[in-house]
Amino acid sequence: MICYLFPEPSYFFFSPDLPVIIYYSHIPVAIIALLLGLFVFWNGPRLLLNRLLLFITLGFSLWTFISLIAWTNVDAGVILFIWPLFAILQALIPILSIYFIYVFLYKKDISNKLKVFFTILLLPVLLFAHTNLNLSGFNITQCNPFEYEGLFYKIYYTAIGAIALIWIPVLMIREYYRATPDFKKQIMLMGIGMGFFLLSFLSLTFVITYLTSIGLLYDSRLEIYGLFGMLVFAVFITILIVKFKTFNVNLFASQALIIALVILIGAQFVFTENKTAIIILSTTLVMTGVIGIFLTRSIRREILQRDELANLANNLTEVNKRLMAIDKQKSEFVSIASHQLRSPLTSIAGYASMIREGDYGVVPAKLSEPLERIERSARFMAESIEDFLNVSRIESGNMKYNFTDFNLHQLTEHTCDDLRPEALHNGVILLFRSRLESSQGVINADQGKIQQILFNLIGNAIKYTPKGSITVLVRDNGKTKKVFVDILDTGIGMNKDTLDNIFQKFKRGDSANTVNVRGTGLGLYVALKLAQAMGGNITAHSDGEGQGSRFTLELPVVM
Amino acid sequence: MAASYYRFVVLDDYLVSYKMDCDPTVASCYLGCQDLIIADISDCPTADVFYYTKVERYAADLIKLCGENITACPFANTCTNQERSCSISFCDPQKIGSICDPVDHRSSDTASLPPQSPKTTTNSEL
Repeated sequence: MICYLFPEPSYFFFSPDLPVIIYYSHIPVAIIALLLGLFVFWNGPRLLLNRLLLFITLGFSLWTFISLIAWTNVDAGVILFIWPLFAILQALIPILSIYFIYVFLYKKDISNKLKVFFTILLLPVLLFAHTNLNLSGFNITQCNPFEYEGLFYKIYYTAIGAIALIWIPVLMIREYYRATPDFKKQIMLMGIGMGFFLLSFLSLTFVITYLTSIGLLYDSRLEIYGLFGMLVFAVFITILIVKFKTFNVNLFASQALIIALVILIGAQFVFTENKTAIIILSTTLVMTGVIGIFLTRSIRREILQRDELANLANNLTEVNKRLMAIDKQKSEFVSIASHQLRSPLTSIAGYASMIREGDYGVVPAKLSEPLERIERSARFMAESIEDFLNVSRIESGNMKYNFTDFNLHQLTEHTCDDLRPEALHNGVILLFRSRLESSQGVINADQGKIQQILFNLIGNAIKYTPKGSITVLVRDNGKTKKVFVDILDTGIGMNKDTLDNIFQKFKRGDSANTVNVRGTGLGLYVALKLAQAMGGNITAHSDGEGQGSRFTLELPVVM
Repeated sequence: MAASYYRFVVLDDYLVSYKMDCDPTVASCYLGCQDLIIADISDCPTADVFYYTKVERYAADLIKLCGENITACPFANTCTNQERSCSISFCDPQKIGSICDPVDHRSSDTASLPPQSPKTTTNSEL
């Protein structure tokens, strides 16, 4: 049956009698909703949250589409055929919204019980949609079926909307108090957006159509303002996407802005009938679209690079933290293991020495050399373990320092005296020189640790100098208020690569093996760390392999 | 949707209601105003005032009689015996909300009044 008082629409949608606001409230809003849903889905089709948003926006767009058909068409059969869809969608959208909010809040699918409950809620709406309970007739004078809508059916599907309007805020408020500060902001934005959408969409469509059906309102066009709630929802969803990367989408504010601009310009076609204006609008639309594509591509590239750098920095920080933790664990392990090893080694070296010296009776001459080797190896192992222990103490911050004032000049001279026999045994001359000009060479440091450093530096010089001499020079600098101990040798020297890494852990000179010297590669590392902890430093210099070396220990002098 | 299509498009199984012109000299008519914005009928310009009756019947029956459009159909304002349900209602001033013609135009020639009004005529009475 045809509504005889109204003109037939052209192109199914365009009726000359209807106010422009009908189109403006339907077409751009439906397009925006549809684009938003498709865009989010396109960027993460496997995510349940994205799929649910697509279903909500599809449902809303379909509702808007059939609403436009109902507004513009005059065929009662067509309008009645689509009319049950209003009820189905008005029940389905709130249920999908509750489902959507569940997944948004808890990041997981809802339980099967809840799914069954939702299905049971929907079932009567679906089963009775085409019956008289929903719709029994049509007023062809007013061209609507409002007065023939079943009140109980209408109340039932509207009640589903009301349930959603209560359920969703309760869920969100409950989770809001448990959420992290960042997620709180997201809940707030989602709550405002979803609340505004459902409240305006459900309440206005119900109230206006109900008032019209009972004759209190003749014109139901006020319901169209309920559709604008979707725009608010879209804006809040866009903020969530841009600011919080919700839905795992990389949408940038510039993209959102350009899409909105294109839609707004496109919407102007609804109002424009003038041909010149249509041409100008079309040109503007195309230009905005093309410039927008280039602009967003460029910004997207820059932002992606920035994000990549940020990710790399985050990864590095994370890896660094893990490395530090592993290093600490390693130091603890070394400390424990070293303590367990040092005690038996001291016994081995001690007993080997006592046996060799005849404390347990006369030792045959042929046993003397093996015993000496046992003792020497045990002592080397004990020294190595001591190095490990020192590294462990330094790195864990457990090294203890006993600071006192003492004369570095005297300590160095005594150390040289102690090591001179070993140097001579190796065929090297060890000389001590002093050139103190502005001080007595008194420093404030841990005497034992300084001696350990000197033993290490001079000992190294002895080890790595097969022939020639070693000169130990104590000097000072009145301007810098520092005292220096130079250990100069005519030994194997170092190339630049070795020099650059000589103070690192487990690093030994490339030529070290050529002189058959045993070592852990920890001595210089420990010496440097000890010197630095006492306000000093150690530097190394060499003109190259075979050119000898110079190690300098510097410490602040007490004036 | 298929059930809806079958019922409303194929079978035309639904009621239709519409307003038909009414002669106030022979029946108690409802009063209407062409200008929909005017809420109170007393504010409506005389030229825009019109008289009408309300008809309600099944779409399938009406289509058989008039086709899809009732504007030029002589059977649109009469009920027939072949119809499942058909009613033409006239204005009842006693009924709350009914806006009837305040002047009774029928008093001069009551003999020619078919049927008695105000009342609702149904096809069972025809």
